[in-house]
Amino acid sequence: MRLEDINTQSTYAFLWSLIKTEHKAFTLGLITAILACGAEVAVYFIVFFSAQAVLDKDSQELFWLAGVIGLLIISRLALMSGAYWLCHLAAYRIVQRVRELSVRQLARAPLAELTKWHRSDLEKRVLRDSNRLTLLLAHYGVETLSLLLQPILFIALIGWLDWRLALVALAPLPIALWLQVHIMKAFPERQVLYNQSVARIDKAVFDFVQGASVLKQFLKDQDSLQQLDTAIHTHHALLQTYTRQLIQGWTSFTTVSRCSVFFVVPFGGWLWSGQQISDMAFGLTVILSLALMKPWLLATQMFGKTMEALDALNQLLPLLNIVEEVSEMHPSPTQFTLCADHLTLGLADRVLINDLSLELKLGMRLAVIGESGCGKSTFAQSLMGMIALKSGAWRLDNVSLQTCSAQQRAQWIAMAAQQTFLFRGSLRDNLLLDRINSTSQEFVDRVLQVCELTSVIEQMPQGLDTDVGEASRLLSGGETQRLGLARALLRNTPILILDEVTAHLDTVTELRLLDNLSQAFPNQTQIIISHRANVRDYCHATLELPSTTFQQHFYLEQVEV
Amino acid sequence: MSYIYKLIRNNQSVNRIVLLGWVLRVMEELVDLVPVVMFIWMVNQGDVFSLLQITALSGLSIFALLLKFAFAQGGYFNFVGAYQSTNQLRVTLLDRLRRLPLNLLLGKRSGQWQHLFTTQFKQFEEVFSHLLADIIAQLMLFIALITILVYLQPMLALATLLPLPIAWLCYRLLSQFFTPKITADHHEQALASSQLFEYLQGLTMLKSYAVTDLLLEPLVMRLQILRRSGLTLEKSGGIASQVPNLISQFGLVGFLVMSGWLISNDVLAIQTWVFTALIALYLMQVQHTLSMLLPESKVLLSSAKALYDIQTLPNQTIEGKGVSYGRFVLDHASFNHGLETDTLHGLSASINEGQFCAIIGPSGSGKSTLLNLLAGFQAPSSGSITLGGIDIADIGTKNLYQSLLHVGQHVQLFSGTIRENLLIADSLSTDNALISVLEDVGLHQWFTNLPLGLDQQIGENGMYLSGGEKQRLSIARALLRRADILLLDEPTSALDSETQKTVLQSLHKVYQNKTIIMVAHRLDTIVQADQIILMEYGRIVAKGSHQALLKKSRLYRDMWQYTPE
Repeated sequence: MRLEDINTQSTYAFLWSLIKTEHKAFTLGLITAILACGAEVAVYFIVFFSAQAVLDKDSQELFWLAGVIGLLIISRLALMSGAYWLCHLAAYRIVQRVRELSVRQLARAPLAELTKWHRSDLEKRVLRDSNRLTLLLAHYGVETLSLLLQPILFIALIGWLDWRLALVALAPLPIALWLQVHIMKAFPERQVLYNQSVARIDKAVFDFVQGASVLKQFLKDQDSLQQLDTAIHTHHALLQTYTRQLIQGWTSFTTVSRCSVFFVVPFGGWLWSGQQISDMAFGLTVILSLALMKPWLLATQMFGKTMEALDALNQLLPLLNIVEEVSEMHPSPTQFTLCADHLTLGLADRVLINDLSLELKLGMRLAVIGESGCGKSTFAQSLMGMIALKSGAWRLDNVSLQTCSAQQRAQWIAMAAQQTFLFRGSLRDNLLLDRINSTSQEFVDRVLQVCELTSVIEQMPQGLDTDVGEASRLLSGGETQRLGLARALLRNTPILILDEVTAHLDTVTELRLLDNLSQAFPNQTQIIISHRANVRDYCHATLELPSTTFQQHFYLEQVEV
Repeated sequence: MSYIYKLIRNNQSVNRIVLLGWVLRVMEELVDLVPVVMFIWMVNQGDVFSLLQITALSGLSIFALLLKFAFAQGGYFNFVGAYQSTNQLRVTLLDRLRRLPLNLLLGKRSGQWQHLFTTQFKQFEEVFSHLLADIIAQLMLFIALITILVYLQPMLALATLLPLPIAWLCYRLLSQFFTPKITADHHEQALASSQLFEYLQGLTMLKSYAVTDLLLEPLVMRLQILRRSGLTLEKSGGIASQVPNLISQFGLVGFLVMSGWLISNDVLAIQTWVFTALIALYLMQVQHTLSMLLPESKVLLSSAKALYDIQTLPNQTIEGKGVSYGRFVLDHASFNHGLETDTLHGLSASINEGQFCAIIGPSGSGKSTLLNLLAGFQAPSSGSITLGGIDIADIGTKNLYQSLLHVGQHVQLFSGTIRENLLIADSLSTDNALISVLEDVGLHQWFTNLPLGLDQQIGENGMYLSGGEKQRLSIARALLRRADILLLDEPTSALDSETQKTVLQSLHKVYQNKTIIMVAHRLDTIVQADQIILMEYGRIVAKGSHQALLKKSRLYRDMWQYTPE
């Protein structure tokens, strides 16, 4: 299943195209379910025939019928389970593919687009909400069909016994239909209000749980709990009102859905009294009409579940519809001269860097310094394509980086970020990423040495093969940051960005590290971001970003090499 | 089931409402027996009924229907009572949560709590408000039908019910295979969720290196495993419900065989047979419904257990004894929580009231753990830590945090405005006071540029702020708080040296003559300390003033040597 095969125009189209991918399993499942319904009705038939046998005192016949019923019971359950199983297989496959599509889509979406989403929100949409789809497809497909079919078969059976009884049994149907329409009208709206209230409480609970540690320390936990308690009371009052409003409709509905039998008994009694039907026909009608209208009740639940599942799909659509970045393949640059061309950067409405132009030849080092919050990281992120530029362009040998694919950009530029992300696996996995087999041990050793990590790694129980979970307990903040630096250096790209990589280090180690860097990689263009001014001593150029108020413009100092 | 009882038993008034709801629900279900009994009565009479009698019977039948409608209104009590119980339970459990030692609330744990209080709680609510009443009603109907059956024809009843014990045994047996699958699936879901989080967290890095496949492919594998574990759960749930269902449905076979045997002995009237056949068929319907409900309840009940388990966690005293000021005394305090960096070995030291004490040492030497113990986040596994002569655990968190404040490495902020985040420290502060502390931490310029000023939203845990801004905001909060004891864990690691100096100066000014205990990695910030505790490998290797340590500790001399002016 590829995204291209899926219709993401609207929620309904989406659901339908998903179902179509598994149409074989669903069709087969539904046929099996129909057969199962047939087997169930047959059980009632056999019991009816047994009455004759009892009347004839034919015990052989009864033993024989007992055997048939046993077979029918087995085949009914087998068929029903088979139908459920087929639908479950299909439903689980569909949901898994929807999830897979979503996470693949995340990998393809442009970074600037991704940062708009909150992680827990994405997790909820991809993993949790999609469970509702499983419920709908796995359970309710079979159930709806058997529920629609069963009453029809039951009515047919009653009609076969006596057509007038069938009519009486069906008498509540118009009322049920009317109620269905009537209740359904108020239902979705109330459901929305109910869901909103639940969501509010969920969020309040979420905030309390998340803030519990701070609240406790500031002695505000009791007050907060009190507030939450009040909020929950309000929520409860609301629930009470909704329940009161809905209960009348709901109980009318449940009562009507099971009222056939109350009409069938007196009327059947009258027919029986006039000897128009036998004891057994009367009895069978009573038992069949008991369960006759139950499906209507489940149909209501079905409606709610469908709404929930559609809502879940609706949550995923914007994710699947993120436009993929347009990328051209550019010939590899030869000079690797990096240019900022009238670059303006900012976050939201705030302009942080206005109209910056600079040129860095291969092997030059640029120091970017400035106070906390003045836009140093924004500068780095713009070069990595993580945020959109307000105007201007980054160019590499006159090729605009904005038009490059992520793959190409990654070949030319690497960045060691402020925070080093370590994933599950060994230190080696984390350092070499996809180049485990294509990087020489000499190079790894050299980079570790440059980053002053050699002794740190040696102290690890299994060296580079130590598991990250274990290693991160033994690593300090500064060492973790240097792992990030090593990872970026190992890419051996012409351009390297260091975003506050030395923040956690004492000044001596910091200076030694910068010294190592310039000596080990003299031909690499390095952009070194720091809040400490002393890094400029190691660079050919310095970009001093303005503090948020005093200086209105950046200051660029270039030293000729 | 016992977990549900344990969870809600302390709630008398609510229990009565729920109970009323359940009773009415059972009555509603039992009204269905009226037409059945009516049928039996009519056929048993064997008379020809007059039109008048039929009309009377119709009236009775309609009356029963109205009664059913009236009983159905009890659903209101059932729902409202259940919601009220679960809502109260939620508050009770959240109250329990706030009594947990702080180390259980921080970090990765907080995600687990959120899952418990949202998803799992919702499941519990579902059982309580919907499923439980259905199960009870069906069980009662089941018992009523059996009673009627036994009354009508004991032998046929015996034959019909014969497979039941076997079905029940079978259900118990299969449940043993089913229950672990629930746990396994929960586990798989948690794994998939954490792997998805890891992927989302690393996506920026992975994309910038163009190596998304590195985590994407394992994640896709994980999703496949999740599908399989879900299907395994469904399969074993289906087997656990349908095999016993199948066995119990064989009661019908037993019924016919017994009928055959009885008529061959000529002891069965046709009318009795019709009645029993009717009841037996009804019984099969009820058994089928129950077989669907029971395994479903099992899944949801596992949530009840998870909720109940909160009560087994350690409980911190809130209202303790004594007041928390005076001297910290550590007497052979050790701590071992299985993690290497968490281990502390027999620490003994004392920190006087009003002292500025610094804790330093190489990373992984246990500085933060020591600070956490002093802050009462967790208790030492042996030895003791006292404050003013009273064990920290006995002081009670309310008293302790009245005078003690811990500012950690991981800044914790609310999703709310700057004002809300500051006011938590002192709800009576004026705007001027708030602006003045922002000035003290060098955030004044930054603040004046904000379009909404103090009402600026900072996002979930300060998402819209830089690391340095977050740190300074949490220090500003500490300045407002003016606690008697201030514990700082590398409070300025994200700040440049100029800002750092300003911030520390403000801190020392506000906390003059108050106890300050600070974990630091830059020695120039702690030269003035009254006492420096030097740690290595979870032990205190030296303590004393800067001058004293320069004389007696080689490690300290080395560290000092690398400190710039």
